[in-house]
Amino acid sequence: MDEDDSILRDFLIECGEGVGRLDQEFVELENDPTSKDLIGSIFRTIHTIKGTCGFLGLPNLEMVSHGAENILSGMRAEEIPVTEEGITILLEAVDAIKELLESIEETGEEPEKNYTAMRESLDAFLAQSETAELTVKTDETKASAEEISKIRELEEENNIDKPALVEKVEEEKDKPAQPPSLPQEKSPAEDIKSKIKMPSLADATIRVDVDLLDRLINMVGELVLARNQLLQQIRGEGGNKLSEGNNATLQQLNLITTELQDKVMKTRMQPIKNLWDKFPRVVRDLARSNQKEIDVVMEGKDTELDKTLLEAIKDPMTHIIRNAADHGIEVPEERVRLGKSPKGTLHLKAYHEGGQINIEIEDDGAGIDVERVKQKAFQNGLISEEALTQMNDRDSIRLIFHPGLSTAKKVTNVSGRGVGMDVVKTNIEKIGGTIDLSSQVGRGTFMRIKIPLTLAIIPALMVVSGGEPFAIPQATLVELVHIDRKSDLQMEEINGVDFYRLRGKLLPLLNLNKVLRLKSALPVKQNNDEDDPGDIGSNIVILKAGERSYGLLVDKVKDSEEIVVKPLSKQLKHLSYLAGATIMGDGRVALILDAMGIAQEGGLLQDAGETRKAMQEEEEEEIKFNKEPMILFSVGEHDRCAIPLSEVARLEEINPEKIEKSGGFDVIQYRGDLLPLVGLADLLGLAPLESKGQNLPAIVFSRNERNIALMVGRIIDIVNTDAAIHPSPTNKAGVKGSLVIAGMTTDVLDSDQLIDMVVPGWFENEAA
Amino acid sequence: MPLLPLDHVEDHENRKSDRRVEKSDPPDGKERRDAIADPREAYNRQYVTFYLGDHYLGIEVEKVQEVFKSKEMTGVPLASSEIAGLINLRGHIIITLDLRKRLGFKEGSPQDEEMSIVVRTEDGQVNLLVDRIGGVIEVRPDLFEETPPTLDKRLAKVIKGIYKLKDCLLLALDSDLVTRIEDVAA
Repeated sequence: MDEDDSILRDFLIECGEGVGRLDQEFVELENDPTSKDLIGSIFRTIHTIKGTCGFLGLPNLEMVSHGAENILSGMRAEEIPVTEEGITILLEAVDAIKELLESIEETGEEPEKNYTAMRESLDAFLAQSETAELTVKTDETKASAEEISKIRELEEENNIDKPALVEKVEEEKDKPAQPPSLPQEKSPAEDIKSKIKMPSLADATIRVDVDLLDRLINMVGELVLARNQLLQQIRGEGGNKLSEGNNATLQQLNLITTELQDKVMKTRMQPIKNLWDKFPRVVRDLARSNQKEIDVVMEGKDTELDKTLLEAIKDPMTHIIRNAADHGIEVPEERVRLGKSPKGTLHLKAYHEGGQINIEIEDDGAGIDVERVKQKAFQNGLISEEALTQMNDRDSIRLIFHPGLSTAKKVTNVSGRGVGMDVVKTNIEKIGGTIDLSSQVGRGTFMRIKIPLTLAIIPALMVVSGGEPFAIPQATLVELVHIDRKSDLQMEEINGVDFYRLRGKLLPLLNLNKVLRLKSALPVKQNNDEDDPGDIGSNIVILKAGERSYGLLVDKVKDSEEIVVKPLSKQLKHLSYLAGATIMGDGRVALILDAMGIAQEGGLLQDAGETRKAMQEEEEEEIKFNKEPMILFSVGEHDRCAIPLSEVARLEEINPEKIEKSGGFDVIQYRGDLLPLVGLADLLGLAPLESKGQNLPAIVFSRNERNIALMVGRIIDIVNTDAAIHPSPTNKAGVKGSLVIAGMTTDVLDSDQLIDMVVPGWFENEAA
Repeated sequence: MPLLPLDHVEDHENRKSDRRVEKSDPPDGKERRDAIADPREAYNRQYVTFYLGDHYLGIEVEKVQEVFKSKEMTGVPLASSEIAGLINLRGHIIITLDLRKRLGFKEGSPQDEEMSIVVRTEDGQVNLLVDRIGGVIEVRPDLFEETPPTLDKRLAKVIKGIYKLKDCLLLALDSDLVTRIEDVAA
């Protein structure tokens, strides 16, 4: 690195910091135009840029910053009023400066673009303001003009001998960046204040390479590990061998290590305001271009989070803020009409909670019209009408995260939200975060983003399979299910893929040992005696793979741990099931599993093949509901029957104690009437299930305002199927035919015929 | 880092500078030791040597980070069989290759203690499992010979050539090539 380069780099870093502050300061200044502190700070930043770029040979940058400085100088001297117009033109200059700085950083040179127009408009504004002032305060304008010419003189002087001045400017950097030409300020008190404040800030911080920090963190992690091993060894040997003094030293080491770890982790943390500070500007620009008035209120600006995370949420947050300002908050007239204050508010809040960072974004704008989102989703064919009617508001509003909805621009026009919300969600989920929102039409929208404190350390569930330890990131974990032998029955197979019935829904099941071809420590499906003490059952870890969940059978589930994610070497990048690796407390390496990758590896996400078909059917059932829904129930021990849901009036549970007799029938009193009960098992000549005194399930049919109930064994599920009904081979009365539902042959019953068998003409003789 | 027996160390100073300056200036008359390029260059080179079965192999000393007794490692399912697993080396997770499988050698009798050689490569550190460490030797360039075309393909691809030592042959491994296996399917 040669000398020039290093000066330029220092200059860029310094400018970057100053310019980063400018947007925020300008917006604050607009709200508080009389603040001398703010004007002073802005002036100093611009002045530093101008002063340094002179000898670095950056004419365009100098030109623009000089123009801006002239105006600021006037504002600082209270010769030019701080107006919205003035701030707008200064912000334009700031944008130009940013553009120039970016180009210099990338190419080392200024861009080709011509900036004279920018300078001219700045000068024109200055001249115009000065003339306006001239009529009022002639003297002061003169003074200001003198000052400006003084600055120019000094600059020219500086330009004579550039290299000799390097030192001088370096010195200047350390000092509060005051214009050397203006020793006698109008408000000396103000000056002293800033003089006291500035150097203390500069001295208290130091710039460190992020790489170095990362290495430091790694080494501290190692130290912690070594300490843990030392402690373990000493405890293993029986701590009594240690003398009192040794023990104390060990305790000391323990404490210092913990503290060191804590502090080192903190070095990567940055306050969220580093990100938020640019939002007022974004909102201001959007508000101005849409003739809106928006206030940005921030709470918890000092909440700290890992630098990489801050980077990761930058785009999603900007997107949400833009959305809120652009579409969420209404124009003042509309707001007044709705009885709201003409000025909209965008409320940002950040705080720690339970090892996570919560970021809340709330606006008091138009909100999201759930009905219209649903309508759009339906129109775009994302969801069936039935599914929509069953959807609660919370789920429906989450439809805006659906990629199919987001890419369709129409939705934006309707709801004001949508484009890119799926990207927002994916980005946040990528860093192990979640996003939730609620909205009320006319009242506003509320979003909450939850993200982990740091990317490097994530909570994960440790499991063991095939004797090897694995870590499953908590973010992909849905729930844990422990199956003991008794309910083994509920695991079923379709075309070689196992399914587990989780609360009535079929969940595809993978065995980690099989997927990764590990040597299985425990056979999974054993038909062992239930009381076999060795039979400890199976553990299913339910994981999210995109929009779908699946179960993963593992041998053992251990504790949840905070793990440090380490990258994988290049040779292993092609293994999709691997998300990384980590070092456990005992120093061993554990692999971190990727839920999506496992699903792929296990054939759940294959493009072709039987598995896919089975999954698709499953999916379609869940999403579309456009097939004949059937109620699935058992009659005897083994028989499974189904009746189309459309023929059924209600499902009831009948208390056996309330059953009475009337006219040779079992009846109960039901809604002020008598409900005849017919045992379906008797009717079909099957062995009934033992009732055991519990309530008995019954299916109630209702025709012509009369009811009859069929007593069944157990109601299993309601399924959707479009499979063709095969004619019953036995041609039994009351049976329409049979169907294969979830891999099992199921008799489809004919309810009319059944009822007719018991009470001939029951429904017909109603008229009599 | 365990010390290695240095067989024929002539000048320490030059060797040190060897380590620091990698692949920078082309060798000239005075500073020829500063380049690590082709073994055919006319100067003595140092190799960390080791045994795999009956084979005697070597890796340039500059590429070797450290040598230690193999430690417990975690296997990587579905990875190619040449990947023995991952080890934790002072907080870094390092991939370990079974060099025997990588070079297509016959399975040997299980060793009591396998040795690990960690090499620095373009893609980071890689640990290689070998049977036994030989030592560091310095070889003269006139002993070097290009890889004979009749050599087994798997081996031929990853060695730079062969040094004909007095009583045996030293296979000079190319550490970058031998550790590059991402193309190998599981």
